[in-house]
Amino acid sequence: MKDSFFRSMTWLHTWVGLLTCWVLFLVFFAGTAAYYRAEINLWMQPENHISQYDTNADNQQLILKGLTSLAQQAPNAESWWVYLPTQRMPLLTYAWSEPATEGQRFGDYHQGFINPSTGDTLPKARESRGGDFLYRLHFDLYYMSALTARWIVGFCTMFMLVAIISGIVIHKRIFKDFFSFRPAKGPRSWLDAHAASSVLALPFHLMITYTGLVTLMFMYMPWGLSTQYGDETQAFYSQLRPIFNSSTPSGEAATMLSPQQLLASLSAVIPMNDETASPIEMLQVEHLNDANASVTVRMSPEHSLNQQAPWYRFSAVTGKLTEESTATSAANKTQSTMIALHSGRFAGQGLRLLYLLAGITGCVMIATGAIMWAEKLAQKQQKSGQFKPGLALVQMLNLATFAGLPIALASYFYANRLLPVTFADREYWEIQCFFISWALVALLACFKRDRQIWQRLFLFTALLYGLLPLLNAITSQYQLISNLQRQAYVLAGFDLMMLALAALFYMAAKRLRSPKKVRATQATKATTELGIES
Amino acid sequence: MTEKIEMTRPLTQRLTRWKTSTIWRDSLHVGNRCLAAIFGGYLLSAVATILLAQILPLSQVDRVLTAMMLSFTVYTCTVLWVFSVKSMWRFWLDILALSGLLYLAYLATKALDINPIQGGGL
Repeated sequence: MKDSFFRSMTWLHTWVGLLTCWVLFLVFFAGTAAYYRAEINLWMQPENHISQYDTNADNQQLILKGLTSLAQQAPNAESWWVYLPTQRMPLLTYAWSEPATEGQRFGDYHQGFINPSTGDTLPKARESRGGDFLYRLHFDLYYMSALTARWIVGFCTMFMLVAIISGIVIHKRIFKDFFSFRPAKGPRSWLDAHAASSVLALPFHLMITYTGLVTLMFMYMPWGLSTQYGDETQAFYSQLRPIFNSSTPSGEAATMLSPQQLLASLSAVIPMNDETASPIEMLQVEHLNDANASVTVRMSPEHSLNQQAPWYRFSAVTGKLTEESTATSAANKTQSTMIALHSGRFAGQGLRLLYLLAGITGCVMIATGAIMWAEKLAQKQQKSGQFKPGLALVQMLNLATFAGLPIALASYFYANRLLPVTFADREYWEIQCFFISWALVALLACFKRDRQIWQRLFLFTALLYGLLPLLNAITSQYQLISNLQRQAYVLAGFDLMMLALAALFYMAAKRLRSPKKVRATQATKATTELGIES
Repeated sequence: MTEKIEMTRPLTQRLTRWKTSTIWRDSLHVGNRCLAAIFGGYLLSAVATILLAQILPLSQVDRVLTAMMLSFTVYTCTVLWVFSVKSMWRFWLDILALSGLLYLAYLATKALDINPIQGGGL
């Protein structure tokens, strides 16, 4: 009985893992990259590379600057936003949305940047989706409606959870195997690599999968909500997240306070330049020029694990404080902690690096698992002499996905710098470059999928990433050395990360070449054994 | 001989035993389990969420939230269970009966208005 349980769990782990692994790899890959969303955004607009984070910046002056720019440029907008500079995004960002026209759910969104050290508005940067594309790709995929994509991703995530739990069940010697790695032994090594990458970051894999489901649970599992609240789900959401519970416009026109007056009433309540208090993250003005016009100020959740930073809401007409954050319940905190753990927004640069490493481990876990399946089957079919199309399909998908996606990401970065700034639909074509290069690798995988092509593609990937800092030096005002000198660590960090990736792929390519000798001897041994048997 | 061992036995061996009918039988068995795991599992976790959202001793918002967050645990356990039991069709009965019972429990608690804290905010 016990034995059959293990056997069925092994079966389940294998098939659930295999059938969802390619989508899961895409989700893990894009999600891991999206931990550096802000950094990628900055890198992909070299026009904005000028500035660096200034710890002594005067927040009041910056907010005033943002509000005045908005008052000048978009006096009739629907909403305004001002984002204060952070370590990760050293520019002051101001944005506005126009009233939604017919058939639109939200009006058009525009944004501008201000250099916080000089106070100059920066010229319009090139159009690029930057890291936001990777963030969306992570759960909205592409070329399909967001709703369909989220169901697909949710389905695969659910079965990732099943694969993880059944994987733990079948891994009898979890601690012993953790310390054993037998390189250059064919499928055995793949198994070891798979086990090591899974066990090493197991808490992360479990956490990220479960919290991933929780981030979209209102869509996946709404039944408790609909039986409890019926048609009044809005009441639930406004109790859950009162910060998003904005007032409705009254329809009565009113004159709003000037930016200076607004700032004065805000700073009467909120500590503005206090070193010990958490800084302001952003400021949102809604229903402009309406009697119900409001200003919401959200403090930075920087060091809070549950992201529930304090916030304040003022009337933009009278300047009075109308609403303020209150303590939330344990369940509410648990849910927002789960989301925060998933998105890692609270993470500083050190922890963010750990997130990246754990994410890469996840990619390795998925890839090695799928490759191991193919290797085992290939060995079996080699022995029996029967080759089936299923194996070729898996090998093809493996190569196309695991070797293709890193190349696609590099191509996305190259397209960002090589497409002319005035290129029509630039944003769109940057993304197309991502998918075109991925499709090219997939096409290649239809014809060749041996060890040599893996190795060559990895070498090519290493070359692509290795040359990115050079491309940046040519196409931006600053390069790695000057960025380090002027302490623009976000940009310098991006270049260093690319070099590290290049090194990683180079090592992988090297590993793929070296065990050839061992494999050759194994093969001859196997054939002689077979010869003896026959 | 249980179908569990059948499932993991090499295909060629099974072919000689059952001739062509085995492939059909196997895909039927696996497909059946998959359907039970995917849809039955979802059904059971949905009903469990509905019941928990009614009876947990918390405010209404918290009940709904907590029940939702727990639902994926129920789903995972159901999938593992469906794939580990020996019987071929029994799990359907179990899932449907259990879901029915949980739903009845929900209806009963709702009708009797048994929940520790009514309404409630944050």
